[in-house]
Amino acid sequence: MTAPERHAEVRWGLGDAALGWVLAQIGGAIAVAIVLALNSDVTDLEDLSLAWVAVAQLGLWVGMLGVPLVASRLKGNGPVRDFGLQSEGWDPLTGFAAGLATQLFLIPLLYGPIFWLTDLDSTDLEDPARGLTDRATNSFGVAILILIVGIGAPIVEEIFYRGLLQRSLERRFGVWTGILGSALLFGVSHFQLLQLPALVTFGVVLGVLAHRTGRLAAPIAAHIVFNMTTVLFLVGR
Amino acid sequence: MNRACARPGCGENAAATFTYDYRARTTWLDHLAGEAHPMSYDLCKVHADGLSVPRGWRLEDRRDTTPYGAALAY
Repeated sequence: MTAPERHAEVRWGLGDAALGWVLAQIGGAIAVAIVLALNSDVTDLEDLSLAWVAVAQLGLWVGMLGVPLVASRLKGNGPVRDFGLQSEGWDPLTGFAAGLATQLFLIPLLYGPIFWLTDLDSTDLEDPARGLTDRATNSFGVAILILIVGIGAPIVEEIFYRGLLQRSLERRFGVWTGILGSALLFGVSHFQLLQLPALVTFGVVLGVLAHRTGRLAAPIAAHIVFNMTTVLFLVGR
Repeated sequence: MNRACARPGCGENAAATFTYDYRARTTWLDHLAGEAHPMSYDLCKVHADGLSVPRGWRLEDRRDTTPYGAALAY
């Protein structure tokens, strides 16, 4: 019988999460400025090709992914142990079901009253997504689109929001503050007012998955399925 | 990519583009085209929703959308 595996107590926390978020915003802004400088004929971000969107996205992801990875290495036991960056049993399938159910059932339930009370409709809700998917005009564009929203964003955002931020908030303020706090920042950080209720609600679903399983595989799978459902609808129509 | 509605007196941002074919007596209404074109016309959402065609013509609203409104988290 071997001795129980011992892990050093982690020393990363909210300060690292704040640093990661600020660096991500600065990195994103610098990347956008560079991309616009290299595309002097483009004045609106919506006119950038998906390849350039991916380059701009890298600036955001450097801080969002770099800080959790470095913090967990220097102040903890590495990202796999500290953030539960692993998969077991039903995690992927649970995430698949949660992502699909949120996109197809929970969000329509949430937006039914909003559409009823305002002159907004599903076209308005889809507008930012369509602004991106409409640029996938060939197979290369579709591949870049899948890389950005189907692979990159789910992995990077889950490591940051559910890994570093939620766990830091949970340690300090408790489980529900962790789930709700990370979901709120996750929603707000996308800077889309009409989409905010959907993104915060989805953030809560992702937070509950991360907390209940203790791992990131389920929320990453849910995030992939949530985004890819939209991509398949909008690109495939 | 912001362009104005083509309806006289309307300064709203365009949200849709329509094209037509006299021979087919058909008008097509699509999501806003990526670029302006001399043979197409941009409309704001209100005027696009209220677009009507002459008798005998057919209007095809191709601004199809998911049945529920899809979001993207990236």
